[in-house]
Amino acid sequence: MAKTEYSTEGVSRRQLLRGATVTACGAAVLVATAMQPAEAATVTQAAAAYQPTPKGDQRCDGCALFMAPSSCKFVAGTISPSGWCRLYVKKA
Amino acid sequence: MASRRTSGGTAALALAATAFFVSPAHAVPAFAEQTGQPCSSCHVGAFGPQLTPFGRAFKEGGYTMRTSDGFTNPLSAMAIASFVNSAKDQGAPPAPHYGVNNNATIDQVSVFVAGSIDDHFGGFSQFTYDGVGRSFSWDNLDLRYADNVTVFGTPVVAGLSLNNAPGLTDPWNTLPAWGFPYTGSDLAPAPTTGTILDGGLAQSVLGVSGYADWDSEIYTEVALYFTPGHGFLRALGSDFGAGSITGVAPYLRAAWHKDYGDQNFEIGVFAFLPDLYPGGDTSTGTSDLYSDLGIDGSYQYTGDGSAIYGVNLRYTYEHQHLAATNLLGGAANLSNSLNDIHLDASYYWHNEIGGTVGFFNTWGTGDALLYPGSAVFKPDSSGISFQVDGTIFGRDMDTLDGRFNIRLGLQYIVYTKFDGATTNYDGLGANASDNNTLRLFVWTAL
Repeated sequence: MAKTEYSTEGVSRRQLLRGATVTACGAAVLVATAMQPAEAATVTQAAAAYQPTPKGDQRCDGCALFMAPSSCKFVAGTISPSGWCRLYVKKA
Repeated sequence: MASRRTSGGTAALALAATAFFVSPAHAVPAFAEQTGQPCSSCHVGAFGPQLTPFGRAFKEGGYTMRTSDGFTNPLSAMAIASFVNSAKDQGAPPAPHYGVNNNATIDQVSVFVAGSIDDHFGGFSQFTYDGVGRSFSWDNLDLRYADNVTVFGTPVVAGLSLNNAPGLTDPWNTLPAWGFPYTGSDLAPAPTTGTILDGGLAQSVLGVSGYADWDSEIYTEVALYFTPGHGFLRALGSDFGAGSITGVAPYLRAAWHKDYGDQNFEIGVFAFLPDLYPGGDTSTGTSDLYSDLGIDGSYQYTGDGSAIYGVNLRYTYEHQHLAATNLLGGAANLSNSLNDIHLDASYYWHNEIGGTVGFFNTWGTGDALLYPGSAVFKPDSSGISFQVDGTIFGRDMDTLDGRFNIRLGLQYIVYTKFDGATTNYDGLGANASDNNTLRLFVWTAL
């Protein structure tokens, strides 16, 4: 029995894979040329449930992850010193 | 050495064994030390593989986030022990050294090496002692390079992963690799059929995947898997599983997801298309082509963390072209199909006490040679799983700096159909409900 019995109609599985690989490589090259390097991994403000206001006595400027004046090691974007998020870790 | 000639029936059994018995259990306290975050930041219920939005971002980011540049211990350990009771005694002991019912065992002990090298390289590697099989083997492997980049003005988290199971890289808990139930026992009775993506090739392959999450809304992934040499797999305590891939097998994934802060959702599609020599048997000169195509979705309400609700759904359609297994006498039909649906809903109170209900249903083409254990030669199985659990630590970093946690759980699985039928499924008078299983487990991570 032919090995590729199921692929004799139209495009074979091997051709499909080859095409997909070439397409993926082409797309990767295209994307690579358009890429601008950024920074280390961060999460969105939504994923961290960030809010621009404090939660009780917990504030971003009292958090070990806060980087003055207005950014965070883990959370992307502009961070208010008086903000708060779910990843709050009290500064030692 | 056992013969490597494997019939389709045996291959189906091997697939079933991996599909239903392998537990995706996962707990890595080394990441807690690295990030300075308690278990609950990454995991719903402060334990196990069910990820929060932050946990998913940490995974997509290549496990690289860390609070300081200082050294953190990359080693972690995990153990699971359980007591298993089935409604009726099993026909034979499920493994040597055990009885036909009411078995207590250490299911597994795992060691993890986990961490990051810099802002871009990270991952984990798990090695497991199987307490039931009494053997060592490699387990989950996920080594990543990740970067935050901008593409045509759009922020993208992009990366590469070297891993050993299709679906292992996925950020959600809908696919089999990280799906509910998050722990199981080899001693419990289990249906004999599952899809190839449901663990059929886990730890039997290696693959490289490239993924990108576009603007935190569109997740895309392309991976190619191949089967390493038999000697390599044996050295790691593994084998071909359901079969050896003839060349490379593509895995494709796309999902639309959105995070609103207190809730999030995901809707996606996936495909895995392996061409296999069943059990590694090349003697027929042909192979079996599996096409797993599926859709999935998830919803999470995280609120302020005091009450977390979650729903996961997966449907898989599998087309099997069993040219090799048919020639080997393991399948009567040249082509078969299998359908598989899983739905689970969970609630966690303060990341401490949780309850989950899961519904599962597998059905497909009848085949007298592929499903010889079924009196009606059908793969159909269905039922409902219940789990309640309590997690003692993990909500803060107070206990051993967040590096120690324990979960106690109770599972109950009700089968409405088992290996083809509700009653007399084996032709010897066994009913599906005879396999209803109660399991008490203790799961620790250090």
